Amino acid sequence: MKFKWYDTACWKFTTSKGTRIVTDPFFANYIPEGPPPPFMGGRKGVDEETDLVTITHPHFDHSYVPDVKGIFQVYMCGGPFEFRDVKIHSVRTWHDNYGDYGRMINSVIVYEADGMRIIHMGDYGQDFFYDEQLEQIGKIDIMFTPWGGWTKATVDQLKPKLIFPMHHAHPDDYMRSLHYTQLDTSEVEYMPATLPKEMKCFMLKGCRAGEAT
Amino acid sequence: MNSGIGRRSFFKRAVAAATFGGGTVLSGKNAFAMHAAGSLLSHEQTGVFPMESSDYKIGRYKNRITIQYYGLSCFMVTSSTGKRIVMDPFIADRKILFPELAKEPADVVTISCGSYSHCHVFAVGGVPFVYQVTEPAELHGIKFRGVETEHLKMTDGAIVAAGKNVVVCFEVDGIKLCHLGALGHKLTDEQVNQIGPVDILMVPVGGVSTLPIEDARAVCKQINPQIIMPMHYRNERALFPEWATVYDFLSDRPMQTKNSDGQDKKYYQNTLLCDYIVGSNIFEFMKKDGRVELTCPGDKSQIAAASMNVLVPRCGY
Repeated sequence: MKFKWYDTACWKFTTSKGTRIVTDPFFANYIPEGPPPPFMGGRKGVDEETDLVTITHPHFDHSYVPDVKGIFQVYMCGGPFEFRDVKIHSVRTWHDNYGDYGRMINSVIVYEADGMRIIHMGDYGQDFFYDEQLEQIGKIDIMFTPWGGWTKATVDQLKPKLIFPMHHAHPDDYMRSLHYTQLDTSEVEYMPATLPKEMKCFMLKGCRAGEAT
Repeated sequence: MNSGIGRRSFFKRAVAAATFGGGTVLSGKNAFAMHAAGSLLSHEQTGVFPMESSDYKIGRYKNRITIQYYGLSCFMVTSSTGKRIVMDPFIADRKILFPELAKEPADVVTISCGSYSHCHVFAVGGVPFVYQVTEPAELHGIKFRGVETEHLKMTDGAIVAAGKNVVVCFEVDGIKLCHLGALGHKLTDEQVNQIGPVDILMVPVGGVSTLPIEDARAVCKQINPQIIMPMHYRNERALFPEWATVYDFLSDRPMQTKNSDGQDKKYYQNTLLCDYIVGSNIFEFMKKDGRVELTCPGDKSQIAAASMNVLVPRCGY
């Protein structure tokens, strides 16, 4: 199974049978003519075809589908869903702890494909998972997570084999304690047999990453 | 009362009590007939039709479709087999006060352009297909076509519009629908040919970020549909002060001062105009003898002309 990072929380999963899933496509703020807005660094969107788009929550940097090419379906965190060779379900979590306007909902999405269980955390923002959430999530092999103070607690709870930081993640003390590796590629491939025995953390190079994100 | 009566049981009971002194078991149909004919105001007087029943949403009758307006450019079309197509779902913000679709499950979402008020798919529920391309495709047995057009260039840096706009055409139960999205110009002959014959046309009339009002009228004449449904205009819930209202769009239509019963009533000719408060936002159509017929609600004679009738649904729900 291949994992390709575009930018922020946007990944493309390609299973061994060729099913393509794009997660959380972002609003690139891309204007065809004229200079791009400085704060976005002139990124392009996900201008590739896909079979399925999954969206964790309706924020503009996680839910912008018009840049994606082709005809596809969108999974927006309803019930469990079986798409070709992928089983998908979502678990409702909080987006943030201290919102001024109330708490926002974010759903983490669990994919089951090629004999691996993968979690995409979206914009997860709780301090730790509640017991019910952990039950619904189950065992996890690969974790795509934003990085913050809560990450250590959630990683300790899920115990994944592989961690991929995303969404403006920067190395901090905890990431260093995991002996993270900065890779110069935006795409990696893993199968159950090639999963590491011990927990590993890889920072990828986003292929749509702007300068000023 | 029998247990088959659902959400509107209180209302039906009230109708039963008023008409028969209570105790009569009513089916939904009878209750409606009495509502129309009986002691309360009929839907012809109020313009309100009791279509809250979910039967209407799933297309109760063969070959009948419903079209529901959610505000701005967002419509939901339900085919007679229950397939739902949502067009241009919007995001509610401090200027767009319509309630978003409350995760209504849909089968297909069509998107005309990349502006957030046209592409907020998260408001839709289910696992829908997204159709936003110009290649024809068959989704859930419905054939979709997209015609590439241009969006108006927005100079406002906050709202970024891709230059491309897709006019989405499809046919449901024999009725040809066309949604112009955020079209920004008059159509060329080639584009008109690609769109082909249209029964019901959704056209943006607000101007500013879409085509000006004269061009909107010209495009209607170019396509010459039977029914025009204006959208994307200013009203109490779309707070864009520089946009035109739907009354500006209707202003070139001749006024009629008497209705078909000879009573004094002012209204635009060949126009079924629902108000902000009064009127329906969900309409049922069927194709009969090559024409689209409004089966309910409202006065059918108001949009009985051969072409270029205007139907303005109530905004929001």
